[in-house]
Amino acid sequence: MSRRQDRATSPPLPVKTPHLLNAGSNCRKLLAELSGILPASANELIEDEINRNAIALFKLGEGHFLFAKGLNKALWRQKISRLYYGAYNARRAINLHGSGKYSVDVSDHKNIDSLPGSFPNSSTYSVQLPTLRNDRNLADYDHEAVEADLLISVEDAEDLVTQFLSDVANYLTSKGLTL
Amino acid sequence: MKTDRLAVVERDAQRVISLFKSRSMFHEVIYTIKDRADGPYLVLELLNPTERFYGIVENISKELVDDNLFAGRVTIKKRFKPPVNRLSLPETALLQKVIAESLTATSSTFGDEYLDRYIRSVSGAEEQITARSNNIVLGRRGSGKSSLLLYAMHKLKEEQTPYTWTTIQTYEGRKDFLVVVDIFLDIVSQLAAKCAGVSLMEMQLILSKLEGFLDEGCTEKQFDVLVPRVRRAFSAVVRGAGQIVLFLDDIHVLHETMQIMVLSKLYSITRDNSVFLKISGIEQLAKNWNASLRKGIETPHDAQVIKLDHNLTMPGKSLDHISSILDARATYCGLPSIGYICGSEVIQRLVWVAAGVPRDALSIFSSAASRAAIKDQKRVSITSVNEAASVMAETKINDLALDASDRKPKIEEAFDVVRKFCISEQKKNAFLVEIGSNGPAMSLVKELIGLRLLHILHEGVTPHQAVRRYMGLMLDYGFYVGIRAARSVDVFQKEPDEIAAKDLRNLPIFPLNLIAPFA
Repeated sequence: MSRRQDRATSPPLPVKTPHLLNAGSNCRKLLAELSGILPASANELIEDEINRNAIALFKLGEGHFLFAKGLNKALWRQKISRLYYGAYNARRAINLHGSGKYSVDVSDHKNIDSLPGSFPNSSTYSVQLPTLRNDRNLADYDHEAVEADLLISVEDAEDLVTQFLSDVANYLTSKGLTL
Repeated sequence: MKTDRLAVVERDAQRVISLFKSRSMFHEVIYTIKDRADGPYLVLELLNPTERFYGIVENISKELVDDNLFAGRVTIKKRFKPPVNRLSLPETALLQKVIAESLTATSSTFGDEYLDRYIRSVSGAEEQITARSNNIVLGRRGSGKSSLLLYAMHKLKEEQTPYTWTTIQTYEGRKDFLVVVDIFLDIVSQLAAKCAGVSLMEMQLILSKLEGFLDEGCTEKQFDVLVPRVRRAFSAVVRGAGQIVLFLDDIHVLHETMQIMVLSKLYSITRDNSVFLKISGIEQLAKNWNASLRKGIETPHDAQVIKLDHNLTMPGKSLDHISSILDARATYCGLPSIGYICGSEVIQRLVWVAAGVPRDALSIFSSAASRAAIKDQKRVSITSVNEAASVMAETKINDLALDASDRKPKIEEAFDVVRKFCISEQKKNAFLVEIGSNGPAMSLVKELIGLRLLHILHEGVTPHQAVRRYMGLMLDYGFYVGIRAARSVDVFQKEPDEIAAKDLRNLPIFPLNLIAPFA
């Protein structure tokens, strides 16, 4: 990985303690281990807490996306950057809900295309989300870059994230979450 | 040094492009290389990037080793620059190729992508054909009979259920009893290839008996002695597999006495044995039951009929189905929709000139696109569709040799009479024939319908007296439009709209006795 990419992936803020997500590296594994110890009602509380966090992560992504959409077209750097974070946080919501993974590590950005096997349009996202990440690095850090250097246009990036958020919303809803 | 680097970039890019071209089937790919601070990226530019194309790039990226500069650095972007001529696009060229490849449905059509690329019928026939029942699929040539059987076959393949596929065209026109032996041999040998152990041994013994019959000849009585043994062998396979399905594609090409004979013998091994028959044929030429001999397969008791074809009696449904097939093929080829290369009025005309037959519509469309491109037209036009329909008429005459080889001369003569009546005498492309009068001549009319030379507009109208019913028919477009333009012909409706009863009532009545000598 180049130095530029290292700098591009500064970690999101950790959650304030006390918090379920600080109790272990994987809350689903934690829940599985505790299921034989805690009463069913306690397990449900943990499950609810996982869901609440997944919804909050999705809403965080949605917020970035809506902010990007409202920006003037000329602000291509900011648009690309916020669109990327819109997609990134929606992906985090899926991972947290599905596998229990939650990471605040820089390296987590490499997993931008890590989606469940049954996720729709998986090949599109497998190619386009890493492309958007590369464009976001360029937009945020390359002072010499111009809009024409983007791999996909701002309009295409907006279409991509619109579709991705819609697919994530449908996926989470199909798993019983109310967004 | 700079030149060396550029050469490496171009070499590695060409390797990716070459892989993409071979897997997407494009003959040309537009691309750019973005040289950025973080290294070069290869950007493929497509008109309508879809999951299929991303899947190809995803796989190529996984296969590229680190010695290729573009490992993990290939992407796709939407091509914005509007083309001067939409018919000269690589996507349009691919569409024509894909259409050409899909015109004949065989067991290898679309390979493993068959179920993904299959377009469901508008009548929900898929649920019926996959049921545990005997089915006879009826429709004109090109209406999608084989495609529907293949849908069921691929479903069985997915479930690992044993099946056999027999193309009856191999036995075209046969009326000797040995054709029954030949077909059994084909079925048993295919099934044997899916058996092991005792079942395989029994199948091999049956095969050697059947081969003996072929070498030395056999009577129906001698063959019948083997039937219970075949039934028991199939039963043994069913015990392990749950069911066996036997597909017979285009049963109508056999001589009609042999159609009934083959079905009768097959039914005697399949009945109440969890072995199911899925048969296709042209309605007017397929003979599945002899009522006087009580032989064959009787519908609906022994088998359910699935009718795929409504001629022009349900024009709206035909339009929906053909539009969805063309749209699916266009999207597969990277076009946004079929409407990108033609207007909706062209599709309407296409459905009407193809008389609702999907394969004819695809074939005419592909030919019309070539014609329009040669003339430097930017999109497919109605004129090019008319011309292509005219050429299609030749194909239909040629199909006579395939579907009704022994009756070809008489059918051609009868059709000439109908054509003269329409074009020279009445100067109308549509007419009525009385239902219930002149049985043999009416059978001939039905043959002309089955061969797509005439098309049904209405199954039964009563223009004058309630007791006398008439069928509304239309002469195939290809015989009076395009290069054979008969401008004086008063064309009955040009698009697939609902047909008004008053328009039908005013049509001329064709005297069936004119073709009676050819019946």
